Amino acid sequence: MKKLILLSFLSMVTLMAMAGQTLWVATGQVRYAFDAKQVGKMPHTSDGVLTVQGKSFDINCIDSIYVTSVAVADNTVDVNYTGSVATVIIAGNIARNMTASVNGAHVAVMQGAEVETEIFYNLSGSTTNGSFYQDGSYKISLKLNGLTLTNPDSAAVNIRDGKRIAIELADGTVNTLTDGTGGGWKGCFMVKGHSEFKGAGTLNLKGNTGHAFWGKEYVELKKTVGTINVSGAVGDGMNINQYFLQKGGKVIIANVGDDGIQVSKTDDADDEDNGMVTIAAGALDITTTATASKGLKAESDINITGGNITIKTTGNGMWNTEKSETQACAAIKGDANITIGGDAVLSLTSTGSGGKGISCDSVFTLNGGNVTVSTSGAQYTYGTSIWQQNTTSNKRSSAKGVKGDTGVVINDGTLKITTTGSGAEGIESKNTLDINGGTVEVDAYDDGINSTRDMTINGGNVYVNSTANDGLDSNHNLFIKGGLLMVYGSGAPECGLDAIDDESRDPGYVYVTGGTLVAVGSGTSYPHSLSGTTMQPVYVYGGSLSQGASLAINDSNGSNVLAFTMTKTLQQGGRMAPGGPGGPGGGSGVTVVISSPKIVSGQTYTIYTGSTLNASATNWHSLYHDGTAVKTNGTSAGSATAKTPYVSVGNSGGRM
Amino acid sequence: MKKYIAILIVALCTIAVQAQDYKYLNFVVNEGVGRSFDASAVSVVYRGNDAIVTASGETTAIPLDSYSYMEFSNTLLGSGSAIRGDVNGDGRVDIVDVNILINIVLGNDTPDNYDGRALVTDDDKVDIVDINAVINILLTGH
Repeated sequence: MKKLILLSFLSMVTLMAMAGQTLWVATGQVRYAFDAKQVGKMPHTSDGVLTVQGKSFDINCIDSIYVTSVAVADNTVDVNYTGSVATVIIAGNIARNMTASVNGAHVAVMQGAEVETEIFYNLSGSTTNGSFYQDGSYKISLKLNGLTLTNPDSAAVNIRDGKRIAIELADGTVNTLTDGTGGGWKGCFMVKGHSEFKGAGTLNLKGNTGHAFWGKEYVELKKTVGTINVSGAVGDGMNINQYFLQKGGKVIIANVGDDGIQVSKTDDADDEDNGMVTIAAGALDITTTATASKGLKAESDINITGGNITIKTTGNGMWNTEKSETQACAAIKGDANITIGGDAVLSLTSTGSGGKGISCDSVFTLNGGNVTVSTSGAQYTYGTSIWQQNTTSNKRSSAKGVKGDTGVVINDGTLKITTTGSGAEGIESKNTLDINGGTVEVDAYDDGINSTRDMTINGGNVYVNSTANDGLDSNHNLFIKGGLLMVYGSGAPECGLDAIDDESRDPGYVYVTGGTLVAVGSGTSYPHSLSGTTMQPVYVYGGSLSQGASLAINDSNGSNVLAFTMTKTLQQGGRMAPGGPGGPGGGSGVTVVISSPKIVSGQTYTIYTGSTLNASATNWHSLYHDGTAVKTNGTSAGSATAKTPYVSVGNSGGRM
Repeated sequence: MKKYIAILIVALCTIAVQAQDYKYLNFVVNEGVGRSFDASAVSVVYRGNDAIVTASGETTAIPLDSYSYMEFSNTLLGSGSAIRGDVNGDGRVDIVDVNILINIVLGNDTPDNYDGRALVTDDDKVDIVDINAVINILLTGH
């Protein structure tokens, strides 16, 4: 009973507080709403000027003055579009500092410099020939409250105010902005200041002249924001300067003529997070089709710690004459570091020539999350003559899953890569590459994982399969210090493990000091010893294994150390090996590198082929590493005493 | 329970006071003198040199040079006329207004018939001072 009385009284109190006496001054399509309690004396002069709460009116411009009991909130501007006209209501307390002009459904509102309070704009209604233009020097709130606005002559909404612009997509509303074609403006929805989006409504954008959205300063999507849907643009879906920060909401971008989201640096070195993209939550669904386009592009760092991101690019590569370089599509392109972690889920696809999943100009780091990358494009090549194609590498751009120009570091998370185009590597670092943990699964046409400098595997579960080249290919040293690795290269002349061991070319070698490893190829770079370091024994087996065949290695007591089943028959490799004894060609001839912490130097171990295994036993891509999988050993292929850096069994081939 | 009701009544009264609308929109000649219109039903348009005020179904033309300002108020303006000295409220000051005041002073009429417009000067009675004031307006314009 008490609650009922309380609720009843509170309702009455609320209703009474909302009622208010308002003096309306109507001038054309603009009406000023003055709170009767605020206006005081309203003088008029002999020359026909009426002043209400500081706002002067030429009485010849006043259509009428009237009084209602409908309250209008202070600091508000309401714009409603109805077909070919718009009406503007300006709260009386700010009227003195506001100038509004309306021509049909084209509305322009200027805030004077004297404004020192946040003004709340509410836009609603529908028109096929209208616009909203605002300028001022203080922060504002802009609520899109069921607005459908098409401007055939310029931007649909153009906010020239350079301060914080809080853009609210009113809950439950759908708002659609469209501009015209052939103009010179930057975008359909333009904001000069910094945009902060909130509200669970939907915003549809189409940029028929330039970008769908253009922001001169940063753009933040708050947790509460709904959906921003770019249905098309001649330029980018969202072209942003300074930074892009997403904490929620969903952005869908398709049918754009350039990038999905592009973030550029400003010229002000003091601007924070300049050129950066940060995604903490929410969803991105981006498709680009243009040549060399990027789904998500930043001139500085990209940090993704949450959210669900799906990006697809289909465009082919191109030759940039001005920069004398090839350019290709990438789902994500960062001009600096790219770091992914947390609970982020990414699905990245590139299908055009030279297309990449992640292209990073500095260090790519995976600290968590789940990343799936698929590329299917062939190599992009500029020029038609063999001379042009082979003269310099800058005329070629290969598809890749992940590329890091100054490094790749995988600490945790899951990275799954598939590349099918010729020349497409799975992971490439043009400097060092480190895997310290996490799960890495690569099915690549070219090298599975390639590094220009040292490659180091400290931990993690790593599966690599190369169709036509090496499994792990380091152009310097390859350190295997830990982890669980199942690696396949292809047939001759390619290897499971490849390190540059040609002394004339900055030699590097394979060093095994830990981990559980099976690497299969036609040949291999053989492990070396490292002075002052305890090496882990390695067996190198050479023989014949085709798809479905199993190999096991047991200790002298007959206990199984590990076993594996070939998941493919090696295909002929993709290039001729420079020097070195060639291994067997494509087909069943293989060289298998085996190592485990369970293998003790000085002990004798026997390798068996034709083993039968319990396929449901614990395994990593058919590498059975807990010693429980073997049902029958099969045929002995030879025994040897374990030693470092390695001991051979059978007729292994490949490099030395 | 009693406390609940007491608190809510006080809150209700406070809000009610704040939300109370003004009764009149006044066109003021000078302090306390002018024309009052029902604020709940008033509208104004400008035609030539007049403000055309419509309220409660009636339309009144107020010369723009006859008033100084508008304001909301709960006080009915004393003279009831936008024109000082216009005792009968016909929109002008003339000998008819003088004759009315003379009749009031002689006891042949009462100020109650003129909505306060007979109180030309700032006192509570109608006397020779008011008659002289109206004659002055006729002769000098103020």
